[in-house]
Amino acid sequence: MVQSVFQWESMSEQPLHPFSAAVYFQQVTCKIEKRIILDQISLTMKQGTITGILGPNGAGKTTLLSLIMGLRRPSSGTITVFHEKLAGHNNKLRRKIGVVFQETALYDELTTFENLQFAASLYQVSSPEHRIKEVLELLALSERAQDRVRTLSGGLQRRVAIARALLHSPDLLIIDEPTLGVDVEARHAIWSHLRFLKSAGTTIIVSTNYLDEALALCDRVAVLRAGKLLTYETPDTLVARAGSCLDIECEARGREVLTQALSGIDGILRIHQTPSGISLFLTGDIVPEEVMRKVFPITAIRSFRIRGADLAEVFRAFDEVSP
Amino acid sequence: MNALLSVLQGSFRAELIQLIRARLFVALTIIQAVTFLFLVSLFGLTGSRAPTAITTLDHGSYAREFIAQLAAAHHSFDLRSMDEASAVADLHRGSLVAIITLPSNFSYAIAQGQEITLHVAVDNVNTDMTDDIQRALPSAIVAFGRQLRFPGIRVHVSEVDLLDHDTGFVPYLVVSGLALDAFVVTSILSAMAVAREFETRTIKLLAVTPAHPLLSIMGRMLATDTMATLAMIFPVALAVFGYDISPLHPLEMIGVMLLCIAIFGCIGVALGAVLRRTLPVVSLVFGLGFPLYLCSGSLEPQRFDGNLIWALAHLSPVYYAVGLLEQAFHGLQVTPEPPWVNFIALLGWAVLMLLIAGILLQTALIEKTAPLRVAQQKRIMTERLWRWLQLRIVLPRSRWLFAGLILFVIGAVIWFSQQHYQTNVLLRQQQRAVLAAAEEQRETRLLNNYKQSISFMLTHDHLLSAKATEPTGAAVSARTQKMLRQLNCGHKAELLRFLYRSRLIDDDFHVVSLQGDDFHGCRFAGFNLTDTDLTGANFSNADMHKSTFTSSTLVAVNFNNANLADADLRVTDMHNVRVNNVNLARADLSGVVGVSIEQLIHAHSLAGTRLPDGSVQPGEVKDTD
Repeated sequence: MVQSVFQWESMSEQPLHPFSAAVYFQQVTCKIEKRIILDQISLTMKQGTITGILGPNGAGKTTLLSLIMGLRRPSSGTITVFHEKLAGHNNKLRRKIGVVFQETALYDELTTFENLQFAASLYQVSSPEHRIKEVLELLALSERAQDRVRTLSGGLQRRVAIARALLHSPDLLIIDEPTLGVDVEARHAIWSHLRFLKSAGTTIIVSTNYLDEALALCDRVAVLRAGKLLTYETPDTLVARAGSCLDIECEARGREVLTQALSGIDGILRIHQTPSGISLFLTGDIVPEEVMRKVFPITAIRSFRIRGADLAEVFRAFDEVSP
Repeated sequence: MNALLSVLQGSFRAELIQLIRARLFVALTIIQAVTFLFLVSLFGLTGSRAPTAITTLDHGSYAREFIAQLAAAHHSFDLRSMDEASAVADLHRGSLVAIITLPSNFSYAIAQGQEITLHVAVDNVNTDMTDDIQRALPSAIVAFGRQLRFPGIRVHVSEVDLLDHDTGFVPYLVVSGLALDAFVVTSILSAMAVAREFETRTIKLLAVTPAHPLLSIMGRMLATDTMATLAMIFPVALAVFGYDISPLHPLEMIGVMLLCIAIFGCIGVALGAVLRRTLPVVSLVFGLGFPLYLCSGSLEPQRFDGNLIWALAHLSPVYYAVGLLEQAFHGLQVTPEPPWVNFIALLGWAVLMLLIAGILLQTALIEKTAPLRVAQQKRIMTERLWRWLQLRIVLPRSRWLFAGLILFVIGAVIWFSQQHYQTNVLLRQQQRAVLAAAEEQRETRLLNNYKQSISFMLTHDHLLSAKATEPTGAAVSARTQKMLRQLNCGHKAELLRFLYRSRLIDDDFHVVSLQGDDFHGCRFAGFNLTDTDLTGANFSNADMHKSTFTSSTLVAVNFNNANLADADLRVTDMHNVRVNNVNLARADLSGVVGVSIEQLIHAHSLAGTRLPDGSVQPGEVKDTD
């Protein structure tokens, strides 16, 4: 994983030509009834990688995916998928794309096998029975093949949806919120399937509002907020931008004292006062233990903990850089 | 082609599996279809066979005959023979609608030719039903009179059978109910299939696959149509075996049902695409189904509901479906349009609905976010046409065009209905004029025959020497009375003039008696009826101003409300005459016998009237002529 990221970083230094990209957005704007959903988005997604679309609810993630799927059309700008435009009903291109929707879009009254059988007919999969068995095995669903979908758990249903999307061996897999509403175990299972698909050469685009999911899966992350592309970079760069977080719990009067004492120290990006104390965002240049050594003499500390920044804190970091 | 079939087959199979697994839903749909048939047949039963008690205090033969006629004459009655106390109790309890009571002297009075009063008590809970009873009773009495060949009952019913068989109302309703069944069952199944795709968001899956989504929806619609066809077997079987209605043209019936299912399937797809929710689909289908059914000629073989509704009915496929189904089952042509026109219209509906369903579905599938740039690009003609239709029917930016189109359709319907109404009014006026002319001719012919016959008798049988009481006189009197009953006022006046000129009502010869003859409301202005015998005649409301009655016998004549202004009534015998509200302005009553001042006081006007004693009443009244 680490190696692949480095590879990406080294390659990303060279400008990526649109015709060597899996998905290419150029100045894409999308409006729905005069409301701008996506505003002047430009990005290039490389083949054989996992790209994360990160953002809070309403950021425009699903709309961006809909544009790639061809469910919507841009108001302006150009989108190419595998060097082709998705205008109209481009059957050839659609055969290269597999889609997992946020709401799985499965037929509850049909069994897992019947759902896949129906999808196979839509994609005109050759030897459908054989291929269905393959994907069921791939996603460890063989034992639930004859179960009706409505009897499956949320995680299993999501796996069925992924299995359906893989039926026609797509070159590009688009997954909207891959682990929405699934438990931790199922989440990790899904991640491991996606990594496997990537290793097999499939380009994957994942939309999520979990930063940890983006960090665990993606080679590169596009961060959206209110329809604007805030950044498009590697997850490590993104985390570094927000910094690691040191939460210190102290008495109320200690917050002001600590804030004043720690302001201006190199390696501390920002200081936020919280109801229970303060949160410090640190660059990689300073270790938390060093900071704590400075804090203990100033005021009484109840406890402290070190954690990664969450998505809201990442956005706050962007706000502070460019208010 | 294989790919197309693969998608159709896959979608068909998936939908069929889903329908088979939703057994309760399908069973309920079939039950709906069957209950609808019962429901519509109830329209035919409601309002008939009202529970009516017959209480007879007379057990004579005429009473029995009358009760039998009542029972057979009209389907409005469900006669129950009861004693008076029980009948009254039941009427107040609400289990009876009416009580008909035959008095103890019923048979005697009938035998004696006397007038008899029947007491009928009705409740007014359901006025339609009680009205039915009141309408049915006279027809039963007439039937009774005809059966016993009583004089004075003239009913001439002329029935023209257009077909070699009669069709009952319930069988008619049941067949039209099959169209409603097909609409409800098919529309619900296909609308639910499409709405479910939107509700579960599986429509997105169809939109991103290489297969066109419409193809998949078509496959599903074929499955729902197949299920609807199977479901329709139950109501059709009920109609054939339960209601004993065998289709005269079974193949035509099957063809029309399949065509209906195809059209209603498309309507369901369109509704599903518009609503995109399963719950309102059912409500809307029911909401649409009944008005479409009721205004489509379903309740009667012809359009009796007014021209506007009739015109609007043409906008509904159910109208044509009912027309064709009645033709297939009963051989009836219930629409002014011939069956082939209905068939073409139904085919047109099928094509139109397929197109509309496709457009609505396509629009629902891809929610366009930007103004179409397609116009700037070169497109193949079919795609252009497709977009053109979308612009004009669906897209919000063409709402004015759409509104204009709707207004145009409404305007066209109103214009058409008005034209149709005016045509109908003209047609009715023409029909009335033709009927009036025919009646006029008939009466003229009757009168001429009468005059010829009487003239012949005057010449050859020395009629003037006969008396009204003698057989010849009585026969002529009876014939004259019969003739008078068949004539309108104009011809009555002509007949009276003829009688006067031929001296048959002359006071001296007294051949024809006008006793009881009715000249109510007729116009005899300026008539000369000098020295005639008008005893017992009814001239109430007649216009007889400036007429001359000098020396005539006017005993027991009814002049109530008549206009006798400026009439010459000198030296007449007016014993027992009725002169209430009569206009006697400037009339000359000098020498009149049998009328008193007390009677004349009741006259409408005596202004300028010369009274029997020769005195003249003061005042001038404008001539009413």
